[in-house]
Amino acid sequence: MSSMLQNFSKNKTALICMIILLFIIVVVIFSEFLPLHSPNKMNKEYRLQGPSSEFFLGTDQFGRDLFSRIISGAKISLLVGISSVIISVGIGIILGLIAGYFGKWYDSLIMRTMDILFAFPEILLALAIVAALGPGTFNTILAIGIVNIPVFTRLVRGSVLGVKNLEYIESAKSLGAKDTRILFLEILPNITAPLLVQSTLAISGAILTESALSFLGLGVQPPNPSWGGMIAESRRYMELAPGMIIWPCLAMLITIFAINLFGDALNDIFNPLRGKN
Amino acid sequence: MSILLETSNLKKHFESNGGFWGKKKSVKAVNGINLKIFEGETLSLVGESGCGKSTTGRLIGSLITPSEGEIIFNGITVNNLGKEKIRLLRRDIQFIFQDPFSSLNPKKTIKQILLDPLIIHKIGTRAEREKRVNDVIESVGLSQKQLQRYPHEFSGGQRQRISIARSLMLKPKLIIADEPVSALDVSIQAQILNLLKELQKEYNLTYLFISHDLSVVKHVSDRVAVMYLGKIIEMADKNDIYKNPKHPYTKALLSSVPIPDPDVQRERIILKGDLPSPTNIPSGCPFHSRCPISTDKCRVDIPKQHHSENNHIYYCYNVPS
Repeated sequence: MSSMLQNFSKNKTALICMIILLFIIVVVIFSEFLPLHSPNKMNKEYRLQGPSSEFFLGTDQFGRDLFSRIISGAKISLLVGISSVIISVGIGIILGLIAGYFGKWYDSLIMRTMDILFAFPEILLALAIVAALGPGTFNTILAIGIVNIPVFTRLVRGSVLGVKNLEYIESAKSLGAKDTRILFLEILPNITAPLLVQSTLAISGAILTESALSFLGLGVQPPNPSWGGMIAESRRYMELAPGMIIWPCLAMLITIFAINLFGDALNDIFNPLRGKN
Repeated sequence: MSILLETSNLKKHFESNGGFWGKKKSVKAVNGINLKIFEGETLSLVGESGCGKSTTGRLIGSLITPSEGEIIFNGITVNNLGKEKIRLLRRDIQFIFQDPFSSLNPKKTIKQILLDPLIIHKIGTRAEREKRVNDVIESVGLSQKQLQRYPHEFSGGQRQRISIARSLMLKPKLIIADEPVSALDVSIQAQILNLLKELQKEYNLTYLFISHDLSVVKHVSDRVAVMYLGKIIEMADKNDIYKNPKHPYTKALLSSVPIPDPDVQRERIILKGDLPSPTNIPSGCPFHSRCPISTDKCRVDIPKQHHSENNHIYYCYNVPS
């Protein structure tokens, strides 16, 4: 474990990305205590303005402060990103463990179902689920969570197949350990590294999907801000107030970029040999 | 001496799936094994790789279920027991595996690894469990200080000691050692083999010792069973089989053991051909395709069991008892 920490502190990309992400998280958590305008408060006299001392990044078509809307949007993006990945990781682990460990028809049934889910384009499936459940933040989380299940199921199943025939699993069996004990105490702790890496990358994917859904009007509902929704709204005012589209895009870019690089760096840390040959 | 374990006509055929369109094949890994293991002895199973000796060990330890035949352990027929009863039986039969690098979970400390068997079978209070761990770790020649470490901090020999300690935790009657020293350096092999012998005396253990290394087998065994293509072809006391092998296959095997003296000349029996595939076992005597003394009869009939003095058993038509 300590060698992993050492690797981590040596990896500058990982360190910088982590600082950026921590900064975003801290700002989001303490946003209520910052001297900001309310993200939903309209100021008729200050519509479509550029950056000023009063409005740090300018205002939108209703005179709402863009800076506080972006921070408020970050809260939703992170909420959707993290909780949808928790759903997909949780279900993916269970399905993947069952498919990989028990094999036979469990494996066929689970993996063919996952193949069907995989066959749909990600955004289309999410769209269909949200359309069926109705728009809203919670349903968006659920839809994105479901869409990502197959990725994790496959990953976990593959890792289980690599581990389950090792002798320490066999020795646990020969000691009389029950299947649940073998699955959660012997196998799971040994396959966490790829899971962690994939989860990080999935968070950024989920944030993008949420933006796309909100852009299409099926995600987070107005007046609550989300990055995708803000970009959608800004289309009509692009020429009058370019800041309206630039700032949310930039916020998304930085966040996704940081998460992706962080995931990549984690991968390098867990597989130190990967980059060298 | 009382019989601890007995198998009769034990078989394991693995169905190999020849793909969606392919023909199903059956790999006859173990093809009718009859053996008795007496309490307190060391019975060795020897044979070349792929002859089914590990599969036999795993059948006897109920890690896999036999396709046919019976296993009787301590007077109980194992085959028809339910899952729960087999779990209880596992307290009495323990394994030591070949590869000390993959037989210990890398994410657990040695203490956790040793406590596992007691936790699984809900034996003892916390203090009793700790005491047992401390006793056992010392009896395999490691110290209590090393309990908090992880497997990767140990050498191969030390890891094998930990494996042995784990197998002792439940005070088993029978230990199935599947090539326990073949992954170790020769100098360490001797230490581990001597440890196994000491523990056998101390705890009155019975070993089923599976190995391909005839010098190792000579060192540890009381009796030796030689396997070829899923069958035992000769079984006798150690001294008997090493001095007076009957079956031509055993003779060939023994002639391949190196003698640590370059001046000694002896006749080596080199077998022709390769080990036939266990999906396609030759008719009659399974060894006839490579046997230097085979006759037409060997091609047709499966040899009966022949007895010679001192309970020496072998399966061959062409050797006088």
